[in-house]
Amino acid sequence: MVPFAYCYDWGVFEEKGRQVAMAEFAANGVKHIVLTSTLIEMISGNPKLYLKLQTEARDAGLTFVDSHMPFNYETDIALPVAEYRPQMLARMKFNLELIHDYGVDTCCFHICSHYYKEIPMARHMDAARSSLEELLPVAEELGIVICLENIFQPCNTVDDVLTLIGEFPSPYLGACFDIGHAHLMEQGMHVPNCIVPTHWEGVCPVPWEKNVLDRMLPHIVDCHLHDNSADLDTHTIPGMGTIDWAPAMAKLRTAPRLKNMQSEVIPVRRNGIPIRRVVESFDRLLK
Amino acid sequence: MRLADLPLTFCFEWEHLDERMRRTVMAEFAASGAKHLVLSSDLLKMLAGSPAFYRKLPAELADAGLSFVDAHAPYRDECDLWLPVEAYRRQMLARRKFELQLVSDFGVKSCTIHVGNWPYPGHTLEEYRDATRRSLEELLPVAEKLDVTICLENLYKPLNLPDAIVGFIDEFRSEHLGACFDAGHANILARGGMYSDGTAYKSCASMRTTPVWDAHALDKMLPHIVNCHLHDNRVRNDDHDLPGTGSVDWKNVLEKLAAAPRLRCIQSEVLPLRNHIPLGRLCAAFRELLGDKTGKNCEMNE
Repeated sequence: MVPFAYCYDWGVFEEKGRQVAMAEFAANGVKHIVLTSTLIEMISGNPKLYLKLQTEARDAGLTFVDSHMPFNYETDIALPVAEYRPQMLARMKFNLELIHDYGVDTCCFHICSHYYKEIPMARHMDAARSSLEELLPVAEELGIVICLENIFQPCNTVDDVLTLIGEFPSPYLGACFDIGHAHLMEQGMHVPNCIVPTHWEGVCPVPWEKNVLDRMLPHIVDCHLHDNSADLDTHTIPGMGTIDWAPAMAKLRTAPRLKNMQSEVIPVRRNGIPIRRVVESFDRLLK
Repeated sequence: MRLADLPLTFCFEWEHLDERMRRTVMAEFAASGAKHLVLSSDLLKMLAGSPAFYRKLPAELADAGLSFVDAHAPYRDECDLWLPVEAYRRQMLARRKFELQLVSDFGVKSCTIHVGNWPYPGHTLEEYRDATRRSLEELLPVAEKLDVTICLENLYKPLNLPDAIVGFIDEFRSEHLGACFDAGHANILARGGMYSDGTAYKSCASMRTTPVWDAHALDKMLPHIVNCHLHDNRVRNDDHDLPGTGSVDWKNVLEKLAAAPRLRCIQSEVLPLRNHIPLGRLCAAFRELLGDKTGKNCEMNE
């Protein structure tokens, strides 16, 4: 069984609240938490927190397993705007150093969180290639696997993820399987008011997907587990949505490169779910 | 050289403000005649921590009609050049490179970096010196590529003193390495001996040492000064107050600075929030200090 880590919306807390939430996770039997994009942004912007956060986690009896690179606009590897790319690459190299210092060896990257509709898709993908050429040697030196995540937006399809992994055969490049996003791309066409088509307006018809897990399986290094009803990306607990969890979990356990699993339930901001209930739902799922 | 012809930049404690207040203060600076702000350590930390802020700040600045001219890197907390703990150095250097990139992206050509504030018990002065050298060896090629000059600032601790700063500059002999002359710190280093509870003693006590007083900081640093921090104090504490409120010999400072061959800009490092100073008064004080009758730097809409 690989380590299981919990994501949390740390950005809503002051320091005291953060320590209480960490203690709450530990009191519910949790051993590992995710070095989330929010925590990485906080450490990046607050040098004082660089050592303090490690101490807080240690004091709570937690370790960091798995991480998520900050994303959006000028922060994605597919960023096609030349003038912003040097800061994006410098930011990611700095963040990879922080991730390494926290003892984490996997990091989920979005290929493209903000798609520039006026710029062709091919240029986004070329930008992603160029970024990986520069970032993979850093990841290799630090022993971190960059994991590309499947999302329901342009340049983040399973085809896009597998294309890039195929072009850069490296043990330091793999896939992050997001089961909630896969569910939206596999079932969203049958659900009224599904959010997916809005992300493809003005780009191309939605390339609905099939067999996402099967296709990604050989490359999956980490994964994001959360549920939805194929309409919105709600990041809720397993069982609150329409994902068929049992076969997915059985298959995921056979992924040859899998290093860890992650609850990417967003308990506070989106769902108002107590930590205890989140942990219990995954305890049931993992039995 | 007329100091009034150089760009004048203003420092502010931005970390205390939310976005609306930040915009208001920027507008207030502009209404008080300021043209330029410092890309301060507060702002650089905010940019490093928030990709969204990186996207937003240029528009805020442009809306106020302001620009950045010089910068100040964050300091303390495992981000000083002299950091001797190997386990933390990679993040420090990556952070510094990222900050230099941000500085460059905002069109800024000089960035003040402290040699060191934070003490690491158990490390010798030679280890701090070696760590500083190694940091500069790695950062100067990046600064050169980005055409940003790293400016070492005079403070009170060992290796931050004028002789040490000039020593590093002489050792590396790079046009992308220079000095940041801090008039307030120089005043304390020249006259602080009488205040055993003062800033300099406290600063050095954290390293179990005592200050090495020096009344010639400006003369020693003059050939290398690229930017400067102008603020006043009453020697005991590092007040960062308005020129004229303390004991800095401004006539001497300004006459000598006017002869600094590498000087590119003048910075107010007065802290308005800490000292309850209205921005109109701040800008007027610097206009008067620099004898800026042309209004080049502080153009009041009178």
